[in-house]
Amino acid sequence: MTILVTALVVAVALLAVLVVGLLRSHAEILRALQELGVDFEADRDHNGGVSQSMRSGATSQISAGSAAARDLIGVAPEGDAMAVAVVDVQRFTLLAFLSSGCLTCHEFWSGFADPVRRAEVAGGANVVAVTKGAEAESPSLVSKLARGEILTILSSEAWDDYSVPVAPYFILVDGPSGTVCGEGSASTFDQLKGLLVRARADAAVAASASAGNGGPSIEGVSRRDMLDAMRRSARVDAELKAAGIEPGDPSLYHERSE
Amino acid sequence: MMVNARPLQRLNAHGLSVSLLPGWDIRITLREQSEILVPGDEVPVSGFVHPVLHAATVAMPPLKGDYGSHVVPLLGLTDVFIAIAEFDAEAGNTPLFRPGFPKLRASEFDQAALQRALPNRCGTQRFFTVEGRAFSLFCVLGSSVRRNSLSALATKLLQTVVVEPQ
Repeated sequence: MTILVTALVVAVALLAVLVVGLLRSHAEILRALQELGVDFEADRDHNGGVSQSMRSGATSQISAGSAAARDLIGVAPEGDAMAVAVVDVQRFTLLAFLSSGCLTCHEFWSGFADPVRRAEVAGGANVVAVTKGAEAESPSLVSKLARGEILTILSSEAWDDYSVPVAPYFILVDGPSGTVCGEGSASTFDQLKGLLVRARADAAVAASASAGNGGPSIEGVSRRDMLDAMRRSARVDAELKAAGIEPGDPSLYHERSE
Repeated sequence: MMVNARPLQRLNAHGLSVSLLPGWDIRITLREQSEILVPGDEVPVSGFVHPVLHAATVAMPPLKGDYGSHVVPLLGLTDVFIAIAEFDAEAGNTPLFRPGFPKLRASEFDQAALQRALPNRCGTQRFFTVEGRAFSLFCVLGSSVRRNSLSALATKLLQTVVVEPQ
């Protein structure tokens, strides 16, 4: 009897240690995700899922110099050498950093392969799927996921250039200015659509502010979205000012590695 | 305006290389060669495959046709498409091919040079040999009215193309 009780106590103790370890691991994961910008409280979607805000630059950030974008260099899934221009072009480019392994990415692979859904989400933006290079990805699997419909480039260099923290991750590049006008992650196609609308509206406001005219306009962005963006920008500027961060403060800009 | 801070890079594959000038989408392709040989011969069915270089000032969709059937319809009035396709080296010995990399002249662009007639666009095709290799240069401009400035834009990129010896 004593042996049985002792064994039971030992088992319970081991289980307790295991549970504590799991909780600690869970907390560390949550902390890491929050450091990447995931807001679990403020941005719950209608389905109960958790979305991550697209870190769209506030007006002051964009007009004063958002992160510089870079052209992509790598190989196609079929092995072709390729370069995709995203700077000095008259269009937006949506860079979709995906992998063949992550389950969340599969919705985006299938969504972007459908021209209608791709147009719904990206509008007039050129969509480019970017995976890591062949040293970390299976080109044949990537080719299968792209279905010959998605412009896809394997480029670990691009992941480094844009400091991509996780897949799926999305970056919207404004070609004429050569800057990143929004970036972040989303777990569903609908979330991405909403994030892009906001990012494009913010870019329109920034373009308007830098042009010095009172009537911002950008193709595919409604007046309502732009007004929302202007209110959001004003709110962000006010909050930053309250925190003692004035326009031009170095903490507003993050440098990309050369 | 912010610009790419990185020094000008080159895309290099299959003995062809080109500078990555801003605003150009570029791809150097080598299709898969058939492993099935023509009976009684050592030539693969559909012939030997050779590299093709595509460059365009529009976003190039996934590859479809060697001569830009997937890109030319997308060209705007200020856009250019270039295809440099290699042939069997023996073809270079025929009168069709001229030695040396061709220099484009605005006057040679013609709407009739297109595989499929499209509004505003015009093109030209030249056959040439460089370093013992035979090529076809096919160039399409988005606007025949702007052929002077657009052919100059194409020339700027073509001047950076380097062909390595076979």
